[in-house]
Amino acid sequence: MDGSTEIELTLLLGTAAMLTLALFIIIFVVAYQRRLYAKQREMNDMEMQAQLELMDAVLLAKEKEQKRMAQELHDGIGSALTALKMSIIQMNLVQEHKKQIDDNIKAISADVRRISNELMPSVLEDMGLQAALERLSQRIQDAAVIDCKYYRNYELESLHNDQAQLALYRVVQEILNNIIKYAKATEVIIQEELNDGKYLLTITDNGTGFEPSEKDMSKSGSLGLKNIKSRIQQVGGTIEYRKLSPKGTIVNIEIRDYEKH
Amino acid sequence: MNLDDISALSILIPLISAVILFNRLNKTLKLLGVFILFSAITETLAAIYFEYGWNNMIISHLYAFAQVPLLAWIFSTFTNGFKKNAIYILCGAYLLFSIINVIFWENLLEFNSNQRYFAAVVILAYCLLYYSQIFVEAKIIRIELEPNFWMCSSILLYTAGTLFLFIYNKELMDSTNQGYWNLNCVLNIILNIGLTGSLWMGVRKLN
Repeated sequence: MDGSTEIELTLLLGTAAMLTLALFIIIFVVAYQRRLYAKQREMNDMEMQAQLELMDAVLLAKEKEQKRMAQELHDGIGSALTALKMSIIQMNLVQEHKKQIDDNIKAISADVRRISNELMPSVLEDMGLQAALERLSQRIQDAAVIDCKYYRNYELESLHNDQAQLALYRVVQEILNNIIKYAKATEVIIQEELNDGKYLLTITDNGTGFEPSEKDMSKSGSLGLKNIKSRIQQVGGTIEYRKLSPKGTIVNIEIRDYEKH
Repeated sequence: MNLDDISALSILIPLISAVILFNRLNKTLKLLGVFILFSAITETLAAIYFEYGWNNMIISHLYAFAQVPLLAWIFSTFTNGFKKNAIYILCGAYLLFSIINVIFWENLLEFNSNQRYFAAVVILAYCLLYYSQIFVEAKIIRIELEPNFWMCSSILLYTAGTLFLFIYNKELMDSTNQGYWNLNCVLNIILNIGLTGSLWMGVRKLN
């Protein structure tokens, strides 16, 4: 083999080896990076799932405790106030004083009822979600904070089980609280619809407009928003926030198999 | 039009893309645009020198002197820590070697085979440093849409494929075998397509 043939052979083999190596590196980088990303996403999903499960458990425990406290308030303090009222009637007091004490007891009773109702709305247990939402919007309307309206396009008594009704009620409560606190809105519309077998709950306001970022919904994000997301996932639904033009926000909650929940 | 001409003209694709997209590119890709412009100018100058029968090796030296610092600047914009320092150190070593090479071994009128070989090794190291950063940071979601990956991979392919051509360049000058120069042309076309892809991916990413 002469010198030039040897050089050409070295050149051929060297170039082929370098090109193969370069191609191998590129393919390896693509494949490995994809695997790395898939693994990372899987871990994030698992972490998120664990967090949601933990949150579910916390929310469930909180609801249970609130229910117990509401019952204590209603049965314990409520009954005690009724007994106190009866005792005062039997006491030998000046009529004017009796009336004053009676008025105070009535005010305390109303407060206890209100707190108890906020902790666990009896109307939700007695008459279902629709009635509870109607009353909630009425309460906001009466407080003259915001013009709040409630509509629905169906007449069924109840679509969901107790737990789902409570979850949806809490979500609406949280969203309304946020609107009152931050949105500077003057009008809110709560709407329940049944369309093509889908249950839709929509809350629309005319405030400054809000769309949560990914960061808001992440681990370090707002607790209220995470609670909402967790409760909606509990009932197998989805939630979407959309800023309206020129102002306002629409929150769409959709549950496909609402009969299961 | 033969393969040589197509290869020479293929630089117009990334060059025109860079001019059109320049204002919409990030710092890295703007620098890549400058690098493409610099390559186009030196290639044109080399062709003019060749046409007039002048020795164009001085252009080859000029290109090689500026190529690695420019690429070091580009790579330093998206690497950090140890990798960034390694890029600067390699660039410094390359420049030092280039000066020594011109003084002692290959003067400005000779083909700078040693310098080109050293440059190829440094550039390959830059590419590997970038890939290692991808694995360490694991930030990229879809690597096939990543402009830096397109840029780096096309540079890696071209540099790896032409490494031996530069080592044996002096010997090949006398060879009648056109195959190696054709390979160089094909790799050059691939490089220019890759760089164009990088520029467009960059705009897509920013949008």
